[in-house]
Amino acid sequence: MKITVAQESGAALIQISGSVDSLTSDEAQTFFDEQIKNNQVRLVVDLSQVDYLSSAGLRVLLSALKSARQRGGDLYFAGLQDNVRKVLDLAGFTSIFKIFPTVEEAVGAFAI
Amino acid sequence: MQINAKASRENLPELLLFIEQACNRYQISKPICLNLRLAVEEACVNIIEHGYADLQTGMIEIAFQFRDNQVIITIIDFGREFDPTTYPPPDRSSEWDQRPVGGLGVFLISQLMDEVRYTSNPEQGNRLELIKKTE
Repeated sequence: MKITVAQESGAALIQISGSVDSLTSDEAQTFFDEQIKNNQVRLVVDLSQVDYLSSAGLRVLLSALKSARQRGGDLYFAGLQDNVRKVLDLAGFTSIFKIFPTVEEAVGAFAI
Repeated sequence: MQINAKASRENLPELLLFIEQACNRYQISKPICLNLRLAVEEACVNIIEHGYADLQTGMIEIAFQFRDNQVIITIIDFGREFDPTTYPPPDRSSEWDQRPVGGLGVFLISQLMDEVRYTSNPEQGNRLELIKKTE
């Protein structure tokens, strides 16, 4: 898994590639915790390069969503691959996360 | 195909690679392979973290069979008994701030597999069968 962050029009654009699973979730959790600690609470998570997400990854993402919203921010997803969308749907996450087709739309939603 | 490994996080990559290699051998499609890998990951993590928790770490044995357009993965351990088929479904409807962070792994297994079977006895251990049709 590779995870990076860049500033994009007032939001923190987090790009993840690879798998977010039991093998990589600790690293992902630490990364999200660091963003929140740095007051980055408007988060856009680009999942277009994530091809695999297990319950360990779901825990990290839900935890990050809660941290962001509790601090007045939010976490948006952009660019879901089919099997990742399926896992999010099964987990009931598609009803609590805002999901956008593209990074541009997700970043733009924070600007509204 | 079969693999035996000590039930530890360090061996999780090896166990999951085994599933990918078995899928390649039997030319299982990528979407189904990803579902199989996910179900096996969830099962193995439960065995490692809960099945053998506070016990001397034992072994996980995984067997992969493919016949009649059906994958049958059998996972055997000798840790604490835990029947995932009787585990209550997680809360998937409450608001974001009430939603529990954990508890989804077992549910994902049941949703991604066509059939899940579990038996347990002291002599043969805990036996979890994951069945997935390929057509």
